[in-house]
Amino acid sequence: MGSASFAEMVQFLRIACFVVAGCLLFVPEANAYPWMIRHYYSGCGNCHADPSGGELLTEYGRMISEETLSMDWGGADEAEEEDGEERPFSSPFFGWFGTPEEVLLGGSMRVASLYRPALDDPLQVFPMQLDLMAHVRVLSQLRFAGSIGAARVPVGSPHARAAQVTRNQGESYNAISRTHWVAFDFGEDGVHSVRAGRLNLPFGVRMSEHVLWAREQTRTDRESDQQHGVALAMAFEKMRFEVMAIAGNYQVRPDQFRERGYSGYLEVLLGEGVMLGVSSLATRAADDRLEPVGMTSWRQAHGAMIRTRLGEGTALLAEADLLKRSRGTAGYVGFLQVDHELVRGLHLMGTAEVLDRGRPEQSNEAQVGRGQAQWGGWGSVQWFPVSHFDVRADAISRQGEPLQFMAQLHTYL
Amino acid sequence: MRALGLGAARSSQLPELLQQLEAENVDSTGDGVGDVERLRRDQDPNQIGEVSLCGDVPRYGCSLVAAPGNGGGFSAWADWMWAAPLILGWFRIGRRA
Repeated sequence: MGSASFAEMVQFLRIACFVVAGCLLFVPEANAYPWMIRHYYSGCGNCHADPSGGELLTEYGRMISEETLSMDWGGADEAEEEDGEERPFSSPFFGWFGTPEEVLLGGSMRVASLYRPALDDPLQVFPMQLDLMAHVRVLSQLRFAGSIGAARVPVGSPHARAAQVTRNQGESYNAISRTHWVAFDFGEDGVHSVRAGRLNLPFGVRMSEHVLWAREQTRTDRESDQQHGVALAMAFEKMRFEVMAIAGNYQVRPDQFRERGYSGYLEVLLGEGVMLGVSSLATRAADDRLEPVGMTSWRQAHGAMIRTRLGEGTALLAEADLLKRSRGTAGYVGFLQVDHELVRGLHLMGTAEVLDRGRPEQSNEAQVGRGQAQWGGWGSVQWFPVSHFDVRADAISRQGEPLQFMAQLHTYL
Repeated sequence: MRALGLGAARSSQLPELLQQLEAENVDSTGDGVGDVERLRRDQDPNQIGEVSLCGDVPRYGCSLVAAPGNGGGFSAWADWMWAAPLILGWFRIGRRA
């Protein structure tokens, strides 16, 4: 990397630090914040084992899911008594067996079909996710968690590969582990934690749409973008943050492709059902894993996000990030998503996204998506018919790319 | 391999010659790890130490897993594994009805 671009990188980092510091100065007061903003629920750590949300649900999270996400058919999910224990259908593995209080179990099975009319072979059906997850509280302050699953993707795919445990480089199945960590909880009721292991990167809106440009370009999705490192997460009454020191992804080798740096976000509850946040990420690798050029590669993303309730049953999520990479000009990525719940369990979603990766420094020619804005739009329907199950259909149209339709059946164990 | 008679015109003998190399525990560099074992680890048997055969390309899988994984035999039923929870859930609903 030349000295000029290094100076530009440092300048970029300075600006990002000022933005983050500025937001910290205006934090009103401390406390937890809602994840399901539509329903005013606060504190991701109450519903999820991960303090920043996603994946494995706690017992409380399953109850909230049953009461707010799944379609209301008029009857209560009555507990069935077996072996002297009461286990509702919404329990792990449909309540087939019980688990000790210290153990959380779950899983996620997702089959997807992709229809791209412009291709010769337009229909593709594939298992998108086959994961089992476990979480054990050993002492009152010590927790262990991990996921194990299977994935099969083509050679060179940006998906799943980075989470491989087994070493098959071809197109057969591999065992994968997206997350595995140990946590030490502290503070009143253990609301703060320090975790070490393979963690979701704390950045931006943590959502399931891993191919959304904002998640893809910042490499912060929950699909396989996790990295090994140490993270501090703290939750207060009106603010929460998580910051992570990234040590690299030790499921990728050789070492030159491991990114090291930091990632973090801070979110503030501005009013009832309105949350504003900032995120920042900077990493350095001896070479870029997805676009190897044999040279040191810096990658930065800094941005803001908002999640707000727009009246009964409607929520708005938005994120805008600046992007900067070695040997490229600055770019940006963002999205705006409106989610309306027609009746409980049935969601209509509209998403607009924009991307400019920035053009290569040696080129003056701007192209769509590289030096020039590329636009995309999603129209989606998601239905949660009963506890554990949801189906989703998306129509995705992106400038310069063929129209595609995606359907998914998801079972949460 | 050339010493064993491998040439461009006799490439069909490659599997057999590899078996022979392994049976004789040939170690070209004398560093204690046999040539075939080096190949299994995606390493160059003609270089001392762990030198990648593939050069500077990312490789995937946990550094702590000793042997290369091969998911071939797993594929046949794994493609349908997503259906297992549907069956589990269906029977559970049936049992409660």
